[in-house]
Amino acid sequence: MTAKVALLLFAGRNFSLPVEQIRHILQEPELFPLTGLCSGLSGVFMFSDEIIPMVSADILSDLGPYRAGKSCYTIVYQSDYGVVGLPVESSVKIVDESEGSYSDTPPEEETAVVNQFFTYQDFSYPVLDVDKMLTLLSI
Amino acid sequence: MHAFDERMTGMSDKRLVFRIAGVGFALSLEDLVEIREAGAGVLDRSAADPENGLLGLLDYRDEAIHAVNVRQKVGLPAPESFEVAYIVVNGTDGVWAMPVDKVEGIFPVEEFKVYEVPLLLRVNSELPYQTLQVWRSEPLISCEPQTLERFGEAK
Repeated sequence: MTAKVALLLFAGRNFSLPVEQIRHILQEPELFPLTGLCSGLSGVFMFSDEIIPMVSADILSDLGPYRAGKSCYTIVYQSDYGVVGLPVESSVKIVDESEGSYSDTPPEEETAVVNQFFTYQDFSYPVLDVDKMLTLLSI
Repeated sequence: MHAFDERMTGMSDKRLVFRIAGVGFALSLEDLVEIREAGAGVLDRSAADPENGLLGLLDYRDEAIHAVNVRQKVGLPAPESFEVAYIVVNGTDGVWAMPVDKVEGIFPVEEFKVYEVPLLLRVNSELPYQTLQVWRSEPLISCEPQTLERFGEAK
């Protein structure tokens, strides 16, 4: 089976994600607040009889100016910390990995959550390292 | 005023659902002593000690008990209007009360399913609860009065 890559807008920025870690894509699940959540989480939602933490859309605001957008979809993602929800804006495009190519991020563009690009149709999408992003929550 | 006694047949296998600042909580009736309607004169605010999270004193069976500012303790926003009720609970050294915004009611334990707190919520900070409970497709915080008492205290 051909490997797939998701191209999406998350936290106001274009990113790519390997599809193999994506369990589902939901349209605006009902979000429930809880106490004691760190600033990178906005609540929890139910999916497939599981309680799943939702990542805040402003989690990457430390990386630079953040343009708040309306989240339309939630990616249910299998991370090292368990399943999490990633709110994404506009559409999610799924493409064949073979139609693009991976490359290392130039040192000047490397961040705590990105060290690779996926180039597709002459546009370079940073590959979001969700596990590293979630590690930042625990620091 | 609604008083509860563990000897009441079948009451201990039910749970109270209430809300504070939109967050839902589930409390075992084993920990519930009384639900008191809030209103003028119910709380003696002259005995408040905000620095220690105490809102004042409440009359309870010929004694005065503390009303605890649970919102402040667990980091929930201040109320937009007056709370509707006080939930009187069994604590480590006696009963105490917490103001709540809404009481949904008392429901059979079969309506609740207990869940572990997701790992991501546990790794970054101490939480004022140890489990979650799903009730009618909504995750609620398991309200454990003795855990709430200890939460935020210096170790």
